[in-house]
Amino acid sequence: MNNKMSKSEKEKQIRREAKATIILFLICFVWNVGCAYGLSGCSVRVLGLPLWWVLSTPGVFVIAIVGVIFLVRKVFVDFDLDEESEGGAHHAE
Amino acid sequence: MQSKHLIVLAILSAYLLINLGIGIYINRKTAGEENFLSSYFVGSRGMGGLVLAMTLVATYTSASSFLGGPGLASTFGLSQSWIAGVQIGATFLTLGVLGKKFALISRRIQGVTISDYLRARYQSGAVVVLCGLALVVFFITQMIGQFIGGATLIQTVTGVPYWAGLLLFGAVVVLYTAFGGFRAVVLTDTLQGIVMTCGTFLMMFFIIRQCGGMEDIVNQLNVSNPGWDLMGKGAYGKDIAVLQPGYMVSYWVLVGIAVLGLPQTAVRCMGFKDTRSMHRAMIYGTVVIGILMIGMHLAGTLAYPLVENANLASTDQVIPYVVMKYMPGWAAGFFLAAPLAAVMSTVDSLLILSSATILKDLYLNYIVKRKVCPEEEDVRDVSSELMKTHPAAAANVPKISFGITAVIGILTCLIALNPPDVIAWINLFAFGGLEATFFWPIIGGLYWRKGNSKACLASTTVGLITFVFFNRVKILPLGIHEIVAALVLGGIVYFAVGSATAQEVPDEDMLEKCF
Repeated sequence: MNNKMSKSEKEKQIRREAKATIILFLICFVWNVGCAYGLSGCSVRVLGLPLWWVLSTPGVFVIAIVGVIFLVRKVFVDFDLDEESEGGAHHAE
Repeated sequence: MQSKHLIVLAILSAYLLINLGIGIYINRKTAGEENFLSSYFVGSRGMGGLVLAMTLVATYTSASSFLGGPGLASTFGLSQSWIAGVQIGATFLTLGVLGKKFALISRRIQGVTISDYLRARYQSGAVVVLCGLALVVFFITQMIGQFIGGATLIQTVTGVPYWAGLLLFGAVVVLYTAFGGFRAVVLTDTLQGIVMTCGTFLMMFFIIRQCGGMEDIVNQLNVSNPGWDLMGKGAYGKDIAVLQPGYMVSYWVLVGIAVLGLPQTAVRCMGFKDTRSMHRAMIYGTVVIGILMIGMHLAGTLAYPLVENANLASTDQVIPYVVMKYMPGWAAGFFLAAPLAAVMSTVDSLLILSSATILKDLYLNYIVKRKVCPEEEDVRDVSSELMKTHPAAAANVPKISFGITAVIGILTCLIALNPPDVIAWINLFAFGGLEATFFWPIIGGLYWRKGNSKACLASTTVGLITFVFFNRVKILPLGIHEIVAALVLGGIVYFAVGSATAQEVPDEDMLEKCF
């Protein structure tokens, strides 16, 4: 992968990843709260458990896993964590 | 019954011994490693994906995830399980937002604690002292709370007196943490995470089997615990109370976004090997935490018919009661290792970070620095330099580190023997208090260049006061939790003060290291 990124490129990439993570978190939030309250009157049951719970709780679990796999494959980038400390900038004094 | 107690006690003891063994093994293996601070406190930044995921989940998962929460779920029904599901984001959020930032910064500043980061980022003694103090106070009370939970559990299920149970597993945690340092903490966390996952499946299996399958459970619940399947059901009583939506949704802050402010999980971002490990850990951690949280709380909900006529003193007794009454000895022993593991994995992480904070901020950066360079006034972290330039001071550091870790651990254990009321009181605020203290200093500091020490101090103070105030005075509408107010006000103050007091050009050294 691209592990020859400069310091500022890394900073930019990290901000992109953090934003994507927050978006996934917000999707989980909306899905979880939306299903819980939106379907709370619904009488459909799965294995005896109400649909609002099945979709909101195990449902958000599935969404989170799929979402994280997507993030890691498509948004997150591998780069070297160590290279820049070789310059010795922090040993200036 | 007596022989069952013995089997359980034997399995639990064996489990404790394995953990102790890991600590001693790590201690032998790492003896004489070059960079002691980095080795003892962040495991030389060598964690792979699985270990990182497991230690994050295990640290985050405490006694309440196995005892308190599922116990509540037996009366609160599926609503409690829904709340537990909110915690799904804990690992991917922590790693996705804090992971690489902390990984880079901690390597640049050779940092091993959250205080190290705050010192480098805000260059202010006041910030380090305020946050360090909050950290140590909240951590110690949380540890005491966990110790009490663990000892009470051992007492309930084996009949061993409270003090003996406390000393037994308190000693084990303190010993393996003091001997093995961070590496022992994360390795035992991994084992404990696996035990917790298996324990969750065991619990589900035995409850569903005991009640005669899902269909029977649902029929029994409909009769015995009406409202168990409603979103927002309250405690079971004469009429069905309703949990307010504001209260329910607040959990998306308390155990959702605000977990970014927990120093004990944030510090793990300083310890992983490479970005690939972090990416893997995001996936593994999400899977494991989902199984643990949703599984255990669903099990608690389904367990209600089993405890309906048991006349338990509190909902904390639900899980121990079900385990001892309905599981065979081997399964009971194995399952009970799980909440014990949750306690240990939380305590060890809090212990090692408290110890690191005290060692670096009090001993190295204060006492030793005063001795060797009394004229220097700035607040730079000099501990790594001191370790190199003053071999005499450095030689003592391993011993002092073991010592500090052991002393805090033993002290905590002793207080847990006979905890004063103030501990329970502070513990009400400990989890949210940590979030209110650290959220904006961490997040604002990592992503906003203008964030400075004044913003940090103001927002932490306002956040903490708001949190405690609304915790005592319940006047927020719709049952909204105090953490929401604390983070909102803290955030406003952070950005307002930051903008008002920002320097034209932020300090160059700080920008170099933190951005």
